[in-house]
Amino acid sequence: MPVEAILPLAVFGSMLVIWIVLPPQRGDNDLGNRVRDFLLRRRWHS
Amino acid sequence: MFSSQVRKKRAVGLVLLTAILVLFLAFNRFPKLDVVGEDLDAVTAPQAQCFQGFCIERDPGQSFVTRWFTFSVTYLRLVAVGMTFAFVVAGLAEAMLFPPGSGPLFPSGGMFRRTLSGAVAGPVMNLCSACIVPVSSAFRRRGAGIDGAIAMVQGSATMNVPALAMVFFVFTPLLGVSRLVLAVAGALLIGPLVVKTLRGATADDDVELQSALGGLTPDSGSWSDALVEGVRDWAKYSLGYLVRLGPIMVVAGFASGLVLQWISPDIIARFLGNDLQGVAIAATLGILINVPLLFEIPLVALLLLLGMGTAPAATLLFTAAAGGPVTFWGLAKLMPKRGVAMFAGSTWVLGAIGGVGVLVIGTFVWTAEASDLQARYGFQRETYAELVHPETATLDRPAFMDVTADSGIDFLHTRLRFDAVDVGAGSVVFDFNSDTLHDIYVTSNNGPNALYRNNGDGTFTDVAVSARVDDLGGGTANGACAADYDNDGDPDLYVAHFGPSRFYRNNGDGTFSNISSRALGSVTRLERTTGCAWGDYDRDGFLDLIVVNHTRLSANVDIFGVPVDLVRQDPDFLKLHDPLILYHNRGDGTFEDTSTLLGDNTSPTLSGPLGNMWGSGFQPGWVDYDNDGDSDIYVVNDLGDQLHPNVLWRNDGPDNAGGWVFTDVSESSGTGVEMFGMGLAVGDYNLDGNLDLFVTNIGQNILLKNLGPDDGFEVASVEARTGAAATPDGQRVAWGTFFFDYDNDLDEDLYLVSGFLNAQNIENPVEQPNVLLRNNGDGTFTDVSTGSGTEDPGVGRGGVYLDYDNDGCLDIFVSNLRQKAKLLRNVCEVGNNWLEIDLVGSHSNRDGVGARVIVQTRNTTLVREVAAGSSQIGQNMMTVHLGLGRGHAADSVTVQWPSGKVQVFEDVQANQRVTITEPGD
Repeated sequence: MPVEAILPLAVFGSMLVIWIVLPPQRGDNDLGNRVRDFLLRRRWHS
Repeated sequence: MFSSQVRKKRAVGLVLLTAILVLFLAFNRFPKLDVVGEDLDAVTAPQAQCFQGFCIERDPGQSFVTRWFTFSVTYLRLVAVGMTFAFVVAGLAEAMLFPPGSGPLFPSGGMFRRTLSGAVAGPVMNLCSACIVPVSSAFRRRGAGIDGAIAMVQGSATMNVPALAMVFFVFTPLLGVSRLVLAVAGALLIGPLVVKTLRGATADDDVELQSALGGLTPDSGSWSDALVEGVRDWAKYSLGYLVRLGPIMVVAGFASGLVLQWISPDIIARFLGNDLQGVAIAATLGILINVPLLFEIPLVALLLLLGMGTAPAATLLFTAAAGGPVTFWGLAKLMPKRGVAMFAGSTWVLGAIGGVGVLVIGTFVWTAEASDLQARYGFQRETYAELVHPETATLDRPAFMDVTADSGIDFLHTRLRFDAVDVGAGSVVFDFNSDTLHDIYVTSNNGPNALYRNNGDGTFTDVAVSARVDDLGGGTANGACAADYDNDGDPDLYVAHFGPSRFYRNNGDGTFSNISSRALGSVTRLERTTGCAWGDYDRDGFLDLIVVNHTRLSANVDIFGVPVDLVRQDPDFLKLHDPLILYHNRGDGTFEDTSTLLGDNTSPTLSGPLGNMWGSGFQPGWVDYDNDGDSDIYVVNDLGDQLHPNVLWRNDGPDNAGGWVFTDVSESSGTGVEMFGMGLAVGDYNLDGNLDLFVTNIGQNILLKNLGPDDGFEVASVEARTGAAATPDGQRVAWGTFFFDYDNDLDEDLYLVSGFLNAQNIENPVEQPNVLLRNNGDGTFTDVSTGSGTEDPGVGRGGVYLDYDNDGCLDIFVSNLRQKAKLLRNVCEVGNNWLEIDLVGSHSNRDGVGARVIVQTRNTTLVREVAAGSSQIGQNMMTVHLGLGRGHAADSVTVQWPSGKVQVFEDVQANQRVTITEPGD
C-alpha cells in the first residue's frame, strides 16, 4: 500500500468511527445513526 | 459572544481550521517546494526528462498503457494528501464554520465583497483547482455566492504564495508577471462574469439560500452539545465529500494522464510554437488537464526547454492551474451547466489573452534586445560555420577504452538545486599518498567529493571519507588543485567552492586536515570560486596560489541560465561579483593576499570598463610564455565581452621596494581574447620551443600560437584546424582541455571535453561528443574522435590526463555534470617510445611546479612545463610525459628549475619513469 494512503485512511477511518459513535443531537436519522442503532441492538440482544 | 450554538461551533471550527492548516502547510505544502525543486532539477537535466512519473522522452521499452498508468497513479499519490485536506476542510466549513442554522455569509455583501472574500480565502487554502472545489462548495452553500466560490477556486489554484514565488523564481520576469496578472484577473473577473451569465437563476438561488439559512438566534445549548454535534457533522460531511468526489478524482487522474501522454517533442515543435496557434492550443490543453498544485511549473519548464514558445508557456502556466475537467465537474454541482461553460470559456480566453500579451510584448517591446541577441549569437554561428572544420580521420582501432566500470570508479556528479550557472565537476590528478601512483580527486556540487586511490592493479578505491576530503559540510565544490605548498613531501589540496573554499593540508598518513582559516585567513568569503592554480611567482621555493571567481548571479535568473546581456545591467551585479585572488605563500604555512600586485581589486562601477581583476574567471594558469624563467599568469574568463576578456600578466620580477611587478600584457600580446573562456591547455604544439595556449569556448575554440618571447601570440585556430566549433548536431560548448601526446609520436595532441550548457540564447545540443585532435606534426590537427573511444557524449566539464597504469601511454579522466565520470584507458598499441619524469625540488618548490623540461631527441626539441592547475577547474598529472616516437632514448634532458638551476642529462633511455632531484648547494 502506498504510504500516501495512510493519512487518508486514518483520517476518514477516524471520522467514520466518530460519525457512528457520537449520537445525533438534532435527532437526525442518517446512515451513521442507523449503524449505531444496529450495533447497539446487537449488543443488547447478545 | 457565544450566545448561540452556531457561534460556539464556529469558534471551535476556527481553532480546528487553524490547526489543520498549520499542519498541512508545515508537513505538505512547504516540503512540496522541495519536490518541485527536484522536478526542476530533473527537467533541466539533459538526459533525465521525467518528473512525477511524467516523461517527455519516451522509454521505448515502456508501453503507452504502462506510461499512462504510472503517471496516473503518481498523480493520485500526489493529490492524496491535498484531497484529504480539502474534504476535511470542506466538511469543517459546512459543519462548524457555517453550520446549519447560521446566517448567510455575506448578508449584505455585494458581488465585489463576495468575490474579494473568495479571492483572499482561496490562497490561504493552497489547494489545486480540483481539490479546492469541496471547500468552495461549502463556501458557496453558506452564502458566498457563485462569484465567491469561483474566486476561491481561482485564488487557491493560481494565486497561492508558493506558486507565485516559484514562478518568479524559476521563470523569466515576463512569465512571472504574466502569471501574476492572469491569476489576479482570474480571481476577480471570472466569478462575476459567470454570475452575469446566470443573472436570473443566481439571484433566485441566493435568495433561496439566504432564507433557508436563517439567522443567529440565541439559544441555551451547552458547549459540549455544540462540540458533539459539530464534530459529528464534520465527520459526516467530510465522508460525504469523500464519497461524492473521491471516485471522480481517480477518474480525473487517469484522464489527465491520458492527455499528458499526448505530449511529445514532435508535438511541441508542431503545435506549441511562439504564435497564435501555440497560444490557442496551450489554452485548450490547460483546461483539459487537472494538475496537482505547483505541477504546472516543472511541466511548463520542461516544455519550454523542449521548444515551446514563451507565449504558449504563459498561457499554459495559467490555464493548467486554473481549472480542468474535475474542477468543472465539481462546480457543476454548485451552478448551472452554462455557468460552468462560462467558467471554462473565461479561463481559456484569459489564458489566451495572457499568451497574446506576452507574444505582443516579445515581438514589439523587446524587439531591439532580441535583435541584439540574435545579432550576437548569429554572428557567432556564422563565424564557426565559416571556419574550416577539422579534418577528420578514423583510427584503425580505438585508441582508448572505457574502463570506468572495471576500475571501481563510480562517481556520479550532483548539482546544487536552483543554481542556474551550469558549472562544476572538476578533477585533479595527484599522488596524495606518495606511492608514485596517480590518484584522482573529483568534485561534486551537491554531494561528497571523491578521492580515488590508485590501487596499482587498474582499480581505484574511494577513500575521501577516511582521508577527510569528502568535503561535506556546506558550500558547493567547483574546481580544485593540489601541490605541496609546505614542501613536506606530500601534496596539499585546495578545493574551490561557491561559498567559503577549503584548503586541506596533507598529514602524510593518508589523511588531510582542513586548515582553511589558519592558512588563508578569511573563510567567510562567498565567491563562486571556480578554478585555481599553484605557481611560485617570486621563486622563493614556496608555492603561491591564484584563484578565480565566476559571477555569483544565479538566484535571479530563470532556469534557462544567465541572461548574459543583462549581467552588468543587473543592479545586484556589483554585489554578486568578485575579483580574482592571488595568495602569496609566506613559507610558514600561511598565505597573504597579494592580489593588488595584479591590479585594482576595489569595487568597480557599473559604468566604464571593469578592471582586469574582475573577469568572470574559470581557469587560471601559470606559464612562462616568454621563456625568461619566471611564471607568468594567464586567466581564462567567461563572458568576456560583457565583463572582461582573458588576461595575461607578465612577471617582471621584484620592484626593489619589497614588492613584485606584474604587467598586464593582454592587449599587446594578443591574448586578451573576448570569449566565453572555459578551459586552458598549455603546450608547444608546433615544437618551436614556445608554449602555446589553447582556450575552450562556446563555438570556436581559440588556439593562441606563441610567436616568441617578444612577438606575442596570434590566433591560429583556423590554420591549425582546432576550432572544433560544431558537433554533428550544432554548436559545441567546450570545457576541459589539454595538450597530451597520446600516441607518443613526439608532438602533442589535443583533447576537448564538450558538454551541453543549459543557458538562454545559447543553442547547443544535448549530446556533444568530446574531441580528440591528432597533431599532424606540421602545425595542423586532424579530428580522430570517431571510433577513438574518447568521444563521450555526456555533459562534459572537467577532463584531465594521467598515466594511471604506468604503461607510458596517457589515459583520460572525464568528469560530467550530473552524470558519471569516465576513465578512458589508452590501449597503448601504437608502439612508440616514451619517457616520464618526476621532479623533486630542493631550492625550488618540492613539486618542481614551474620547472621546464626540455628534451632533445632526433632533431626535435620537446618542451614541457610542470603545472598544478589547468584544463577546466582541474589539474593534470604533474609527472612530465614525453612521447619519443621511434627513438629509444632522449639525446638530452634539460631541467630548468624555478630557482635558476639547470641540470642536463645525456642519453636517457626511453620507456622509463625517472625521478630527477634538484641538486642542493
